[in-house]
Amino acid sequence: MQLKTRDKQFIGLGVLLAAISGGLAYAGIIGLKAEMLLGYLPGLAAPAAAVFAWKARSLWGGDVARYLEIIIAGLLIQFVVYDIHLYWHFQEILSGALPVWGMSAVFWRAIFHGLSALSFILIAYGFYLFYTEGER
Amino acid sequence: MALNLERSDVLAIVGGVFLVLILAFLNHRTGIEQISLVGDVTATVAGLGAVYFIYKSQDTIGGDLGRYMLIIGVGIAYYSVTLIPHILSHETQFLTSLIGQTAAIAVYIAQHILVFWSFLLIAYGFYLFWRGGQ
Repeated sequence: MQLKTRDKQFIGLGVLLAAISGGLAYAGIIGLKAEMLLGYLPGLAAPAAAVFAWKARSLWGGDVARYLEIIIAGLLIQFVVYDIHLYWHFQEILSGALPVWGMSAVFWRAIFHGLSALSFILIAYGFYLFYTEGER
Repeated sequence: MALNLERSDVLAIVGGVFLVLILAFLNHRTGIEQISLVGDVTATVAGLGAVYFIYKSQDTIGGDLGRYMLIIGVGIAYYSVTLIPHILSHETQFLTSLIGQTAAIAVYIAQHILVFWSFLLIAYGFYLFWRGGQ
């Protein structure tokens, strides 16, 4: 394993926070509102990843820049979709029904989950190129 | 700010978006909501694919870059593995019926933080990518 100690500590911190928050919820101190608010957070982390990948791309250049751009495209699609999609889902909890927004719940679920799938396909493609062509 | 994307890459990205729009519209016509689970399965398979390629790259790339990709891979792996169980638990409420609402919310809150952390790990990996290239 090439992970450094600080990487494992970073991972461990997340596990600790999750356990503490879960404990607070089990004790009834936080509840549904926290669950929903916390749900939005990944949608903010995705653009952070895209920003760093973008900054990295101009440093590495060449083929690596291309692979990163593909991955960034995937991350940006996640960013665009994630929180809007969650907001849409949460409306069902808050108002009893999934919004149709001019089309249908079926349509929006397909768009959101479909674009999410596309974003991961692009991310996978970027790493596929890293693997097949990144012999350096 | 010229991009290094090849024409086929742009086609894949833009074409992919249009394909999803078309498929979503067709799905809308069927009225069957469960079809979008195909999207979730696809996201899972793609995510695991990314992790597989990262894993295979460890020998050829290795070193610092290998470490950055490994960190990103951990994030993607956790998200991919938990995605469908998490979605199903919300939709079927099986967790709530199994352990009660308070415990279920505790699990959901923990999971939402862990999903946030997986995305943060991906951000951290690319942050190191950037710093490592300086």
